[in-house]
This record gives sequence, structure tokens and C-alpha cells, in this order.
Amino acid sequence: MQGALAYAQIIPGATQVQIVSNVGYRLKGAKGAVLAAICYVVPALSLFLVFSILYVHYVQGSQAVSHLYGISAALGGVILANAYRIGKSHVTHPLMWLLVVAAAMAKLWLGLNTVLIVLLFGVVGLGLSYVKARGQKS
Amino acid sequence: MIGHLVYLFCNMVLISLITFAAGAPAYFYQFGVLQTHWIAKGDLSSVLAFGYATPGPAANGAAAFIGYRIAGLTGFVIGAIGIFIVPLLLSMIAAKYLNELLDNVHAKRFVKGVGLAAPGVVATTAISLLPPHITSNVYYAGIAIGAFVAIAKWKVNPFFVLVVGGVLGVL
Repeated sequence: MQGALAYAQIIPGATQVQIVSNVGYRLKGAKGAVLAAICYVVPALSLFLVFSILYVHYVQGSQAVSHLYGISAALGGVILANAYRIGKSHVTHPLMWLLVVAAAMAKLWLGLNTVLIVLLFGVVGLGLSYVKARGQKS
Repeated sequence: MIGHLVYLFCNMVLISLITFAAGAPAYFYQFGVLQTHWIAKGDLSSVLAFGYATPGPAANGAAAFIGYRIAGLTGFVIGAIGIFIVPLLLSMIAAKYLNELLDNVHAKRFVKGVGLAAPGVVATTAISLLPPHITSNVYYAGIAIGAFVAIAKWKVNPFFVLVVGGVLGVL
């Protein structure tokens, strides 16, 4: 289980699906991985399907949407808290928060594509890693 | 329609490939609302709220919702497969071949870079999903701040936070 959790930190994709698939793979190979993933995802997706049907056919565009502002406000707080949690797990020095702010500004002020910003930061991290490794070799 | 489904599938795979631990809401906002206009901001807000309030992979259900919005049940399935196929395959590959990845300092630095960008872009998405005129509406601003504090400081379950927020919104 700890091995699955360790992999999930470093490979992309839905973390929970990675963990259950990894555990399923270790138990019963590829079939175990697929079965574990399906068993984990299908119940949640069933709920989402019901939600999608009801929302698209009955709620969307109706006056009920205007009553959802309270949920939208709470959701904003939930996602901000999520962002804070992600930041806390990756920031190892207070100055690194400036990089987090830089990413936010790149999105807000420059209007850059979200995927581009994230990949850029990843490539910069990779570049700095190679530069540091070269410096240590020489 | 097939073109839309292929485009949806490819973008869901892409989102899955760049989501390290979290950050999916920001990518769904970029793709579904800003880029393709397949869903409205309020729609994404609603589906994310539902995702956080229910068990299972929270934000990734939005991929299936976007698919349903454009192509019914077929789109729902395509969106779901697109967002979940990558973690499934990578977890199998990781278990078999990538043991050394855990010790690879370059991979860790790449993930670190992504990890620093993700909270920034997720925060901007959170701001975008807030109700209109929130800066001048103290009531909704208070709900948002209260929700943030409840989760960040007191680790309250998001389900309860959203329910309370919803109730306060209709009062």
C-alpha cells in the first residue's frame, strides 16, 4: 500500500484510481488492476450519471441555478482550501509561495493557457535539476 | 459529433497526464468553459460541488459530465474513459517497470515544478467560479471565507461545508 501511495505522488492522473489499480495489479496482474479500478470508479460515476441527467434536463437554465450562489461561494472556498493544501505539500521554503503567486498571475493577468503554465513550471523544474546535476559533476 | 468525442477524449487524456495529485478543476475550467464553451461556469461549479460532496474521485467526474453535456450517454462514457485510462495504465507500468522513478531526482523536480504551479492556477479557477459581484457582496464573500477556513484550518468535511453554504445561499 505504501508503494502504491509513493507511485501516486510521482505519476500523473487521479491519485485514488492509481492506488487501487496498483493494489489490484500487485494482487492479480492486469485483470486485477482493471477490476479494482472499475469497482472503485463505477459507483461514483453512477452518481455522476444521475446528476448529469437531472442537471442537464431539469436544472440547467432554470431559476433554480440562481439559488446555487451559496454553494458556488462555498465551493470557491473549498477549491481555495484545496489549492492551499497542494501548495503546503510542495512548498519547502517560504519564498516558493512567490512561484505559486507567479503561476496565478500568469493565468489572471497574462491569460496564459492553464496547461501551458503547468508544463512550463514542470520543464523549468526539470531544467534546474539538470543544471544543478551538471554543476555537481563539474 | 465524432470529432467532438475524439477531441473530448484526447483532452481528457491530456488533463489526466498533467494532473499530479490535484489541480483538475483548473484544467476542466480551461477546457470546458474557456476553450470549447461546452459548459457554463455555473455548470462546472455545480458539478464540482457535487463531486466534492460525494464519495469517489471528486473533480474527475466533471469529465464525464462534460461528455454527457455534448453527446449524452456516449459522451459520458468517452469522457470517463479519457480521464481514468491514464492513471490505470500508468499504475500498471509503474508497478512493473518504474521502480527507479521514485529515486529519480529529475522526475521529482519536474513534479515539484508542476506542484508549485498547480495551486496558483487552481486558486484562479476557484476565484472564477465564485458568484458574480462577490467582492461587493459581503454575505457570499463571508460564505467563501468561512468555507476556506473550515477546511484549511479545521479540516471539516467538504460535504458539510457545501451543504451549509447551500442552505445559507437560499436563506
